Amino acid sequence: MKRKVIKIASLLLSIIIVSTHSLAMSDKILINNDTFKLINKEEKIMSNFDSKYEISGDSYNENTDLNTEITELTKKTTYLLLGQQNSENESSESFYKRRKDYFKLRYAPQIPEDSNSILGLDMNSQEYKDDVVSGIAVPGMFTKLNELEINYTSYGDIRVSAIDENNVMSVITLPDVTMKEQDRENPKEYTRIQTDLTIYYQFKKLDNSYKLYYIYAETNNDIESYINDIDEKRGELSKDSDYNSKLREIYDFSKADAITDDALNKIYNENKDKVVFLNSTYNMGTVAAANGFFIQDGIIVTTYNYIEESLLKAQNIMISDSSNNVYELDGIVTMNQEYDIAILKVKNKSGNVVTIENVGELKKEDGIISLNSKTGVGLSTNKGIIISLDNMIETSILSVPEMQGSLLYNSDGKIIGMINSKAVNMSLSFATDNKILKKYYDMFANENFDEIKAIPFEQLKESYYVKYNDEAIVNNIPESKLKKTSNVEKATELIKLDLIKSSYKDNIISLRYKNNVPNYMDTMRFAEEYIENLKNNGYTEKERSDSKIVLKNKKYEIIVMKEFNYLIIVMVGV
Amino acid sequence: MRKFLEKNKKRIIVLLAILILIVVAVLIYNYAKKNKINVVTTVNYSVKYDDTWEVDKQEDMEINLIHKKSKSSLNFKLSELQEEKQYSTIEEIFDSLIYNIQEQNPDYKLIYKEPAKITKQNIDGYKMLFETNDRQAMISTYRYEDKLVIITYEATYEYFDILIDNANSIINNFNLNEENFNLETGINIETQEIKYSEQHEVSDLLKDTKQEEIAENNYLVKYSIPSNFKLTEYNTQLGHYEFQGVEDLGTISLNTSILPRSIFECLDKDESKNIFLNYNLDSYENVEEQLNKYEDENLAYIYRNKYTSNGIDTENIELIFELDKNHIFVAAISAMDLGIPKELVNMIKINESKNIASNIDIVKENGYLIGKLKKYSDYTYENTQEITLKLPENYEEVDKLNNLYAERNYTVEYNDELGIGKYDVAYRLTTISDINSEIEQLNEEINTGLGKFENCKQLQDITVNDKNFKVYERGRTQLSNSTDSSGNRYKYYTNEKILFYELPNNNYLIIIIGGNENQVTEEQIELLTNFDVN
Repeated sequence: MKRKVIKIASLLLSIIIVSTHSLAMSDKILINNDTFKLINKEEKIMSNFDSKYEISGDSYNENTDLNTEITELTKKTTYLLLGQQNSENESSESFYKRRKDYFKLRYAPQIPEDSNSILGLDMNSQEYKDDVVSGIAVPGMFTKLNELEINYTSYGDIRVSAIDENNVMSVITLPDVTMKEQDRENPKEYTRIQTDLTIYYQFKKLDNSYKLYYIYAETNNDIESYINDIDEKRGELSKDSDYNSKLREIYDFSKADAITDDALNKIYNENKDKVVFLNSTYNMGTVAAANGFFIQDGIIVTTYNYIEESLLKAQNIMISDSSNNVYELDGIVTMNQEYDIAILKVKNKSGNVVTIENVGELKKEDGIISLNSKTGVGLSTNKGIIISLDNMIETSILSVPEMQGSLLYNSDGKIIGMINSKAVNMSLSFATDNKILKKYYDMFANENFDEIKAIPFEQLKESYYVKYNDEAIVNNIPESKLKKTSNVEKATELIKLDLIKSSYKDNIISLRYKNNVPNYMDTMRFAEEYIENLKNNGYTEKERSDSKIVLKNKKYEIIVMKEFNYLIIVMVGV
Repeated sequence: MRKFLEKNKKRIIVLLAILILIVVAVLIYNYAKKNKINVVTTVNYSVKYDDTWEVDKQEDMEINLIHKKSKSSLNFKLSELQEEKQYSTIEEIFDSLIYNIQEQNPDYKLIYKEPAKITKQNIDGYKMLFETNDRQAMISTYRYEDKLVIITYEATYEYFDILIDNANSIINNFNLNEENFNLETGINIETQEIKYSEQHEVSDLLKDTKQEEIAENNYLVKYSIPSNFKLTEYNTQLGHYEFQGVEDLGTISLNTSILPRSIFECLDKDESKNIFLNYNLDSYENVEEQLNKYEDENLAYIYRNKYTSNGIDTENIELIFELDKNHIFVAAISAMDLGIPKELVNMIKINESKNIASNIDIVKENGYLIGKLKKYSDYTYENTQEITLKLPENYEEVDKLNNLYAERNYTVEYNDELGIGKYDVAYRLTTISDINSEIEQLNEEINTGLGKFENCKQLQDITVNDKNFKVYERGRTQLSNSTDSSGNRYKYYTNEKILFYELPNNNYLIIIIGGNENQVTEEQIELLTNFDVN
């Protein structure tokens, strides 16, 4: 009987222990098929904003379905043309399959027959001529670009424009690609260069689907060297020598050339306190930058693309103007992807607001001025012309990412648009036009500032992007073990980093230190003195790589390694 | 006790020795067991892990390992990318992934996210670190072709750092299997053993090999061939050889080339440039045909056919070596009235191959840029004509595809932006002895559709650098390789002076000097006619 009671008691005890343990332990992280589902974040984000700030008007993409279709086709063509990002490891089989799939995209119309011609085909027909063009351009560019071993990380911006009923053009910019280039000093060898690559596709309709008819690509080294030479200074206008646009050979630039320094100075003086620089940072480093302007007191306009990039990459957004006034971001009021607009609210008003009024009809080759900051330090101007007015304003002013959100003026100094992100690192740019800006201008002129609802940047970021958290500090090594190992061979003394976690289990001690300056100092460098000390005390090195060193003496094995921003020390045999 | 010890001394020593042996054996067993590496291979992946872990779950698209002592887990999960997202960038895909992970696991706080190279293949991906109040999870994720991989290492605080090195080495050794692609299923081709011919008259002549090289399509290949093969044409791009010593019996020739082509394109009968199209076997008799994988360090195939045509037995063997995924080296042997023995084929090997930007060597001597031209001067392949060009040092060689033995092209004051040099010069070593037919050729070279042009017009003969030249001039509009911002290639006009220099063998060296948007001066002609006939 007694034995039975004991048995039952032990069983109950084990149940209690097990269930208590289960309660204390959290569930394992859940990764299932839903994890792999890809989401449409834009819709989710837009649902946060006050719907009264949504605007409607002439759509830039009159045929949204066509735009979506060609954007997807552009991505697919680029993928098949270049392979997946950083595809150094692509196998021969995958390459061949990709090549076959790419060739299926080619525009290859049925050519009318002609028994009198050598080929048996009507060589004067448009189909024959088109087939020749696509037959040279499409495979030719595949061979050429694959020979260059292009590595890219993202697609950048894609711009689609319909040429006519049967032809569509799309332009894709791949930022920061690396590719092979012949070494001028040693012509047998290659060097690798980094540049932006812009690819232009022309798709032609064939049996109700678009096929690749023509393709060409260009790099943007010229623009990069121009930007590197820019010297903007705080508090003064830098009238840049304008980028030597190749468009001069095609268009009449006389109206741009006629713009005087007085006109530039006037625009600068009237607007310098009304425009701002936006700088998005992560770990103190800039990850995205743009221009913006006050459309009403405390209300800033910039681009949708910039805010999206910041939500994706940055921890916060810093806003300042050319007089070094700093504005604290309250939140995001609304965004509009189609017009590439984001409206922000800041906490401190300045009383500076741009004036947006109706301007007369714009014409091709009209002279225009951009007031912008490319460095976030001071302001500079660029002169150019309008190239086309097909939906957005297309200009001869070059585009770099930092210029998005900057204002565009006519030669009278009136705002005609805002440079958006539809072209980046190209010798031309696109601008959201004055009519759209004026809708927002009028809308916010009638709003009570305090009642304008803004969603904090952090809130959007945490809800839809990456939610970073502070980690728990947990140290639980028994004092006796630290003593026994002389504080893990003086690690606690020699490593000048914060100890975040430490534990002792199964005769193994682990210490985890955090490197708070990973961008400036490699984590392993913080262990140099410690490793030196181990070697001086009889430890010998057994294994070494950039991220790990294993040392051993008769008693212990010590592994020093880095993972994330941590320096981890593991001592075995305690 | 002492007595006992003394009495049983031998037994005790033996017993102790056995005991020590047992202890050592146990230690060795434990050590071996601890370091035993287990491998799990499925259709999609392979994982290697040591004995401190065991498999908890294994499926085609997932494997879960559990650390025996700590119950820490290491999970590998695969997913096929949805079709509409196949062409999304890594960033777009990972953005969704992170969002979903956070939505599904509200108790897990994200501590870090960073781009990282994952597995031994160094595939670009992301690594993330999450934690709850008692455990941490490191998630590594990457995309490989149409698959997405999520690797989750999870352990309690106590064990996380202790096991991370071990977990990392297992992650590093995780391999996604490449999709099988064989000839039968991929391109519908069957392989079979090659039936080599016996031909002792040829085999008996084979002794040693010699090294040759060609460069074409951005590849330089150095290869060995039987030294019985004699070069029949100086060509830096292609190799043409004839087998010596069997002329009374038949012929064996060898051609080598480098093609910008996938090896599979070459074998795929659906492609327009497949190897089978080189031979129209339907029209011959006694046809045999085989294709097989060829033993080589790299991917290589061997193709053989044999047939009778007009009473002549012909045999062809092509060796196709993959240089990279889009370049092949082909050695094509063709024999008439003779068989191609296996020994001959086996002597053809690639010694070295290199992806090159051009086939240009800069050689400078005494202030001159030196270039050489070389050609057989008759069809006995015995006599060679060689010319040493001596150009001003500021000229640079521009070609990479031309046969540098027969033609060399140079430019000076090259404008990168426009893609045009101030002057261009081409040297062509020819076998022509009739200038008029060459003039017709030169007129045909002009692309009259591009714009303004002038056909060749004879000028007064000149003597420069103690050499006599017949002189012509022509003009033509050309296209630059550079484009303007609208994608149009620049057009430019070139005035050319064409100089014919008669060589001792009555053939001509042709020098074409072009002034791009520019006239060719007498000074340029003097500078560019400095050469030695060797």
